[in-house]
Amino acid sequence: MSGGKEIFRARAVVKEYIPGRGFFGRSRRPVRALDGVDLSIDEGEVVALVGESGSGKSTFARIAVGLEPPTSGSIRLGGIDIAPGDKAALRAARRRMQIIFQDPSGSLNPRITAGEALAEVIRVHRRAPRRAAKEAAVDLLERVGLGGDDYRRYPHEFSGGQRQRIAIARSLAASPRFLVADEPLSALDVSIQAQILHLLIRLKKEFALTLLFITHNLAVVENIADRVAVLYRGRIQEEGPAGLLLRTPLHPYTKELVAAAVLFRPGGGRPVADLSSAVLPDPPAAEGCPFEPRCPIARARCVGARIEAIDTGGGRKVACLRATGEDTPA
Amino acid sequence: MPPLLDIEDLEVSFDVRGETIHAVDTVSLTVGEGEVVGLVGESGCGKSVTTLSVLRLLPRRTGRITGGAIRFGDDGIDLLALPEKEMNRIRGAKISMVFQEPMTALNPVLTCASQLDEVYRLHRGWKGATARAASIDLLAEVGIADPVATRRSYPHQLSGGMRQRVLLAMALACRPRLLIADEPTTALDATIQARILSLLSDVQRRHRMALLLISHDLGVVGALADRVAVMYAGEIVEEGPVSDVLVTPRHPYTRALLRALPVPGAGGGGMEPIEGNVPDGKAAGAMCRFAPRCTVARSECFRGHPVLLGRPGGGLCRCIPGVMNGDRR
Repeated sequence: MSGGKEIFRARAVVKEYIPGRGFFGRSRRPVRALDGVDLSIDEGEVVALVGESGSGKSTFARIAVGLEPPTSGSIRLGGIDIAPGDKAALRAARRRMQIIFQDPSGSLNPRITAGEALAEVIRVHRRAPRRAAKEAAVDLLERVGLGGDDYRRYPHEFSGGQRQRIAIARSLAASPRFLVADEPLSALDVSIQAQILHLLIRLKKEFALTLLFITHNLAVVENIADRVAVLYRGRIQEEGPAGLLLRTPLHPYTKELVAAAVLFRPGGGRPVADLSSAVLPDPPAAEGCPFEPRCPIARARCVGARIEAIDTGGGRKVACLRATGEDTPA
Repeated sequence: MPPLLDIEDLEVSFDVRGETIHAVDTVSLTVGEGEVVGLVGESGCGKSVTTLSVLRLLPRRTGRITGGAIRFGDDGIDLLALPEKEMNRIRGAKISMVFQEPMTALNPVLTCASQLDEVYRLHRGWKGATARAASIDLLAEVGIADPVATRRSYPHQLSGGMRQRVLLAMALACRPRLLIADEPTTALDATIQARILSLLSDVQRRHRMALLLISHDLGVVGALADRVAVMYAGEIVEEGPVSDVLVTPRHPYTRALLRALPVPGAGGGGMEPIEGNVPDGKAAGAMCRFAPRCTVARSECFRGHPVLLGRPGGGLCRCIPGVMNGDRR
């Protein structure tokens, strides 16, 4: 996919939240959810952003589609800067990008039928007349594997997997070019996860989509993603082609994610000791590698200076002194 | 010696808007002393209803146990015939349960301390310093680094993994003989899931406690269980030793569940979807309930409801072609 036309670019994206005032009115230290994230996606590419709860992946998803502004840094979609809060630019860009969430019931209005929800988006975004919008909605329902009869049904009448199909159909109703899927499988059964994943792969081709796929589960990304970026505490730790990254992870955190993914597969064996370590340590106090407190191979040099991602060739980047050999004195 | 838990021909139905839904249909399952049994199936297959029946926690207005027996312990008392007062002495003390969503299972307006101490007060009559010391030990046992601080916390101040540890501590407080864990790690991150599952496995072995593990993920069950039962549309379709059922599955549904799992590092293998939806069990009539979704169904599969037959390699399988020539895929 390299050499394609860049459609999405995040540059040095930082997001800080100021927690509410404390009980006695003391102001608190801002929490840095994203700490300088660079990510670019070419047209037609599927990039998976992987990380655990609190890594900042959902914050990034919301910033990527302009639902929240970054504290600093920029987001460009198709060459247009969407970050600075230019409402007209944002509205124009919104038509070309959509997001689907983990919990489909939370993003569907329980009092609007599946078909009406789609038709409304088509009327607004495509400026279609009522009747054409309805026809287009029925067509969309069929393309996501539902029937035309489902037009009149309400969200509660569908199963979780079917609701996710409706949410996907609604995101496509605006004819986007760029789709962000934030944990679209996590709330579903294993067998239904496979259905939705295959649906996304098919729709990606049919609608010529570019996809940012966000997940905590590294096991599923190889089926859909061309490239994977691993996020830990707001920083991208490793990035590379999906197959290579899964087979030969370089960063110790990616290694842990791969171990967790392989563990509970048939033949993967019983839990191993290195994952059973009792608790996760507190976040690092200052600069330096954010993974250091949890890292099995950390050295003294890993704390202190900020560790930048280094290109290791073959489209791979890793932010780890140990993995890139930077820790050995020259 | 009789098994610790012996579910025999359990039948549960729900009345929803004038309609009767048969959630569990003549399910028989045993869990031996110290044994780990996995119960697997998709949403709506009846696995959670089966386990809620064991603790008699079905919604009172709509859920009904219409048949069968659930025997527990050395003397094999029938839990379904027990007065509510005696059932209360079993819940949480001899059989306890860990649920999927630790946030909803914990009371948000009480600290972990008061919720943990309550277990001791109700079942052991311990108070004050005795309960406090016991719960601190327990929190340390489930891998919480600072039990004193965690005790003082409210559930919302803890991460998902920590909440699940607190819930596990509460479940273990009275050293139950049987722990039922219903999707204990489904709501958690992959790396945290690994930690909680190894903790569960560790605790189970240390206390020689029996564990009934419910999951939609055969991979999770495969990592922990000695024996596995696969449920589909309210009935058990395959059951046997994990080492055999997951390696040479005989039922097409078990095979389909295995193929639905991702295979990391295999260049995008696995994750084959199972098309279609689970039907309401009994309403399907006299045919194999999986036949409409089965890729190897024959005409005879639509003509009669198959019974559980002994499978090669041990256990049972509810599939005529599957039992006759097991390895054909």
